[in-house]
Amino acid sequence: MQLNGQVQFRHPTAVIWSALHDPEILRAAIPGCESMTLNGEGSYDVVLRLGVAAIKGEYTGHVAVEDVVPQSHYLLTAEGSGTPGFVKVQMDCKLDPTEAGCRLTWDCSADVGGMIAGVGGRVLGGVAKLLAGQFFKQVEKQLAQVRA
Amino acid sequence: MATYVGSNYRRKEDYRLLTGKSEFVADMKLHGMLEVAFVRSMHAHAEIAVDGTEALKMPGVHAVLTARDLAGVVGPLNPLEEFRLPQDLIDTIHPVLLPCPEDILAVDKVVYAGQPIAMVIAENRYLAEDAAARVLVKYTPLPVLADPFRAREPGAPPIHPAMGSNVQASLHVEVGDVERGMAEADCLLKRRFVVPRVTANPLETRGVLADYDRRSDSLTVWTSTQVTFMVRSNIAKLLDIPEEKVRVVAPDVGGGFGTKGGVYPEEIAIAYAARRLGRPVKWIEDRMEHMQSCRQSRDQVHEVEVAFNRDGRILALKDEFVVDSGAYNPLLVTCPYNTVAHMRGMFKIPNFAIAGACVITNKTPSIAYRGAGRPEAVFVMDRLIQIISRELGLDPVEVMEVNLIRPEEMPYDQGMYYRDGTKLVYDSGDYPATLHHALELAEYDRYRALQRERRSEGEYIGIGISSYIEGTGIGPFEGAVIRVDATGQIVAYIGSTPHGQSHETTLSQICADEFGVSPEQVTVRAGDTSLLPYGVGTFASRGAVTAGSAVQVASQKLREKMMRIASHTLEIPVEDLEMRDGKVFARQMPGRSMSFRDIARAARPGPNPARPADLEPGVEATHYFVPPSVTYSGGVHVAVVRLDKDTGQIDIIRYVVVHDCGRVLNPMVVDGQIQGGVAQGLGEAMYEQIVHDEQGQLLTGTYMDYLQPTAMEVPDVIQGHSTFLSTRNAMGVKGVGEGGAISPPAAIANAVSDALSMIGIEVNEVPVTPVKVLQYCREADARMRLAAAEGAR
Repeated sequence: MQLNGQVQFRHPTAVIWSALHDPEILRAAIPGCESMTLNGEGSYDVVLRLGVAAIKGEYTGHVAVEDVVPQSHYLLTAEGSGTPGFVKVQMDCKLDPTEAGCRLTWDCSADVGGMIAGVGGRVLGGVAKLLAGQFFKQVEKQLAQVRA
Repeated sequence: MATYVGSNYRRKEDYRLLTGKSEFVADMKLHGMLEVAFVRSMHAHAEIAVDGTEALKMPGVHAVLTARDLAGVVGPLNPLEEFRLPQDLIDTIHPVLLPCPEDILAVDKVVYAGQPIAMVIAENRYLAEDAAARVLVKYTPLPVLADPFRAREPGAPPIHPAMGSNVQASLHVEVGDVERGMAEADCLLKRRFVVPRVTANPLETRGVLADYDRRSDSLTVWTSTQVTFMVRSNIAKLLDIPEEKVRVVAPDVGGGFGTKGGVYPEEIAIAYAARRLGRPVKWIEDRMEHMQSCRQSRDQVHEVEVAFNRDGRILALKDEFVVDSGAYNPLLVTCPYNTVAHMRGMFKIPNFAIAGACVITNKTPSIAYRGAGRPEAVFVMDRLIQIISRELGLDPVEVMEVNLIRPEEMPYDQGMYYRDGTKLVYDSGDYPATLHHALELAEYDRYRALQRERRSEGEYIGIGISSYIEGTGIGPFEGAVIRVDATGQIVAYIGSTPHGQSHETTLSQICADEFGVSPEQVTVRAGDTSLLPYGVGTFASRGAVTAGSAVQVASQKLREKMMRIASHTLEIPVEDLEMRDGKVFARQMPGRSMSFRDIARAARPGPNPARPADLEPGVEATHYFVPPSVTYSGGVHVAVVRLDKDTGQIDIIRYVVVHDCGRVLNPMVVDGQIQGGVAQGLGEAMYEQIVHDEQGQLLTGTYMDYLQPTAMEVPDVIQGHSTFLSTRNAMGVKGVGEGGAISPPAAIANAVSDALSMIGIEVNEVPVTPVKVLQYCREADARMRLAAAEGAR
């Protein structure tokens, strides 16, 4: 499954870049994130609780952020599995400065399997976009809180 | 004396089914019963490591079994003996058949998404499901082969390494000289036809309950199956216990349609678990499991070349087809050989070459589904007929007529073998008459005229015709034991397992006529391996022919025995006796009589029996009917449709079926079989398709994605029966279970193609979904506008 999108931030590139690399902000912003702890291999062990259509459940897995070009381009990889199935995501994120702040362009490829593919497949694309939207909105909100 | 055979006797099953007195496996509860949840693979191809220790610690969990627990104790499932080809056929066509055993629980790797990996056995299903979520399965994904064309390439890694190839089976049949036929013909064309993967979706999913009796060291297994005897022999074989210690019962079964016509790993696993734990163990498949793991069917792609003359006469047909068998192919070449044997249907095609291959992929394993290879053949053949007619500017009826086998040519030899190893010779039928009967009921000429008239108004009406032949009532045998009990009730014990076919009604009609009693005086008992020593099962439209004939002949044998007992007691010669209304009496002196109860008493074992000394005690007779070959049912479907330009729906204006199933035992039951078959066939024609993605993941796991027709979309079928008695059993019956489902995909595809003939649309793939119909209609509208504009100029 291929998904992509764009999101506008009212903060400069540098602020958004560090926010998207900040485990505290990520933990609060990732939808359904129950825990997120740094492991020895430079990635995070995460536990997510999410529902897609009728398929709700817990996923455990890893999230890693790999910088391609500092301050402007990074790769986020995530994989998790649980009773409802598995998800494997690779998200290519690019940050460009704009007049009002910056713009993040993301391009994501995802593999899903098990029950979520069979039962949730029809709505999966929509749900993924919704979750991505929630995530970015939360990042801004977290930033606002940090600043406040 | 046919009093009840042929009558609309009311179904005996219905009172029970409609008043909630029926019992399905899911209704059953036994004392101390545990329930199972299976852990199933979420990957289509991966190495696995399973850890059930956490799950075992959960409350109420009694066991977590994996392949490790089964190693050396429970063998793998092999293709069923009953579906192997007979030796003479093997010697004739030399098929390639590679062994492809199926593990009961996945060993070290999984080969399709949904494959059972572990079973969690707990106090109830809730606890079992919770614990199943705690079974840790570590997957190391392997490359997935979801496309049979890629999987069959020589360099493709074999999914089952021991096979060395993914082509599990292949076969080739040739009749006549195809190359010569091709060379001699006026015209030649090539097409590709696709019949997708579908699933049967019986109302009742699978379900198994096994109970172990410690005292007798034996197992009773209740399972929702079409083939109790095959389940029994496989449980005995794989658990390495005597068959005598296994009883398999199919209580009420809510539909099977072929999907329950095999033995499943879950049936073996549940039986093993009950024996191991010494407790009753039950598993009911939920609908999600069913969509993902219950075996699926069809999935054929045909590359066809056909050679014909300008009058429409077909001289040669060449076909190469590929079957996507999924991860296992338990029925071997049953479906593809059916495709081969039924391809030419009602037509005389002297030169014919066909090659098929069953390819293993990382998808749900395959099985038969109502029609079992025949709908695919009919789709190819009948699309060709229509394409040829368009090519030649003829009406499809004209092309059908020049190719139809004539009644005077019966019995007609198709020059090859049927799947049972006998010569493929049609026994009876008048195909031109059947076609014309159907056209008449469809008001063919009127709708052709209406089609022309409405097209200029921008309305698209189409007529699609499909014909088929169906080898029914396949052997090797089916049996019946008929007994009269001490109260005079007749009981027919049969090996054929009903799952909606009305065995209790139609077989008691047959039996009642032989004994001259009412069907109410006959009890039919079925679906239990303890009833008689041998049985086969209910599939392939074989019940009426095989079990029906067994009941008839066994009844005749018993009748004869009862007459002899009465003759002995009454001291009146058999010729002077008559059996009617539950007694045997002297024709000249009706007062001198014995009731069935009297005869049962006279036949009891004991000193000085009141029966002839050479007769065995008891009022009982057994017959195993062995058909000489299959009987050939046939029929013609005509669909008249209107395409709805707003919704993309195919509105079915008329749907006609004229069917020949030989002697009709109960017209109401036959009508029901046809109507139900058409409903399933229309689903396949217009909506249903199992879709897996490139990673072998099921994308159509719910009824939102896997659309099925409802009462709203299924018209009342206009039916005509034509009766050409079979010459291969005394009653002259032919099978009827599948006929309704065979032709609708071809009839609908032909009708839609016909509605859009002006833009040359060919529907060579089903389902013809509303989305496709909308696209077609837009193209057609554009074309019509253009033509009108040109006309105005």
